[in-house]
Amino acid sequence: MSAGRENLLRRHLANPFFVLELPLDASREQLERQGAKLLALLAAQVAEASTYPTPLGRKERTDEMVRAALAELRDPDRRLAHEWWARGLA
Amino acid sequence: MNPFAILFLIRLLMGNKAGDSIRRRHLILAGKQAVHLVLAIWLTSLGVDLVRAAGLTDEVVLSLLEASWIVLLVLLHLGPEWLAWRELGPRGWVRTGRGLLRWATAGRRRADRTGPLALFSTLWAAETPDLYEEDAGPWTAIALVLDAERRGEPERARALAHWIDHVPPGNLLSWRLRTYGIEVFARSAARAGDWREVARRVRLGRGRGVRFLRKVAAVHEGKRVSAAALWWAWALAPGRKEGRSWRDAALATITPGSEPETAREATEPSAVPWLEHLRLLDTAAAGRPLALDRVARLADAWQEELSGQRVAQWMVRGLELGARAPSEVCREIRGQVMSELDALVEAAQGGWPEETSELAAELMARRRGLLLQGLSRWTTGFPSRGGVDRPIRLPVEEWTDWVAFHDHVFRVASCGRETLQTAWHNGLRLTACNWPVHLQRAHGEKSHWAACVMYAWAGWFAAWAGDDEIQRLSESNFKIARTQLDH
Repeated sequence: MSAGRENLLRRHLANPFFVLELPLDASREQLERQGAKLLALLAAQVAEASTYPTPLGRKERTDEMVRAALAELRDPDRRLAHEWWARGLA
Repeated sequence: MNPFAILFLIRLLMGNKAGDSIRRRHLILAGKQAVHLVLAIWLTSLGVDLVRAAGLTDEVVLSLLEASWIVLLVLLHLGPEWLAWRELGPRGWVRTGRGLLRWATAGRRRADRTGPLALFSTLWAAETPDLYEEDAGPWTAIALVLDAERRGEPERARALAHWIDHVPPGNLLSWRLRTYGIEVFARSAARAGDWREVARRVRLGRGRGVRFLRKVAAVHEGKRVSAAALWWAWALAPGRKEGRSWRDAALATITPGSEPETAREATEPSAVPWLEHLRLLDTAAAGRPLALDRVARLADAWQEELSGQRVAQWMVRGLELGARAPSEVCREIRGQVMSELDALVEAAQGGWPEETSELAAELMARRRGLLLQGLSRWTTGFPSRGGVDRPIRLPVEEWTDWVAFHDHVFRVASCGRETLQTAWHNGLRLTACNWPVHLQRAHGEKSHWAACVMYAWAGWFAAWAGDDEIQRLSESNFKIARTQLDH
């Protein structure tokens, strides 16, 4: 049961807006640009890109997380849900 | 006549008057005392002979030496257990420690004879013993919690430790358990930095180690403790090396103007439901205590954010983004909030506030339904015609299941008196009353301690529910089981 709650928390902390460090009103171009930038920084193993800020402190960021976040925000329905959660935590 | 010889004779006489098991125990104890006495006298005379052989003839020294057999006798009586728990176990000398403990516990009542070995091995042996083969006694009950903690199962450990708040009076815990058992129990929580849990555990304990942990926990709970008292408690406690960091952390908290972390955490609920939601999920995921009324307040805060007007605003935003089904997304968000609130309620403890929003009331109704439904897992085994409709498992299995049942009933109680009354008259009374009866019938002496705790709780609960019949029956059963516990 505790593991289930950990998963719930992890899902919130991996909100695509946090992972990509994007403002809530970011356009599609901004989204793609930020995604490409982060993937390049992660590939170059730049230390600053390996973590991202969340309301509960910094968390580890991987290229899989960045790709997943990009995919989520490209879908308007999914983006609406993530934006709702992120706006209260931004 | 030697007082220990008198004691020896009394033990023999007591043994002759009582039943077989008591006679056996007293004979063993008398035998042990005789061995101690012979050893003490032999060591004393050896010492006197050696001193004389060395040419020392001072009468005072010799008479002091001659009287030292009493000190030796006390050391032989208390030393083996002290050595096992304080020195051998922590240093990893498990076989020697177990041997000494076996000698020290021989002749004691069953609840305090096999249990210490199980707890000792759980703490320090490379392989944890099969606790399900043990008696359902207090030492095993502690070992089960420590074993769950060691396996990294905090949720299970929390559930298994639920009994510690409800130990009835009546010397159900021996002073050795309260000294050694409770100390290792509390130390385990202290290592995890859970000082609330330490405070809960040390309530049952006594002794220098427990006193020190009690003081540190009190500091973390925001209670007034002087630095000098903390220093003294640490200096007198066993395990000072490990306790040094706890002492220093507590002393740092005592400094004027600082506020304990735990108190700060409890008094700062966030006004923003999103942030509060995340914080509470964090608390629950870490297995830290969570108050149910805080979850209720969170549900109240969500009420407004999930109201029709806010949802309509959000649907407009969905249309701007080009969402295909914004209303569906809004429904999903509400569903997610509710299911996460359900998870928080499941993890939380305490009472539910009386005045809440519609959303919190909905949450409460869901919880009430689930909890009442969940009770059937235990109550179906004890049908209204009496008896038991399921096989009685090993005592420790029955004990762990009963602790889960006990925990569940307290959750039902958090839904209000009326809910609990409904549950009581729908099978709970028979389960509470009959479970220990059948446990004792099936396992006898292996289950006396567990049955005592279960009877006491059933009696207390029946008194609360105004059920005189069950109260009388359980209290009478408790008295009988309590007598059997000393055999």
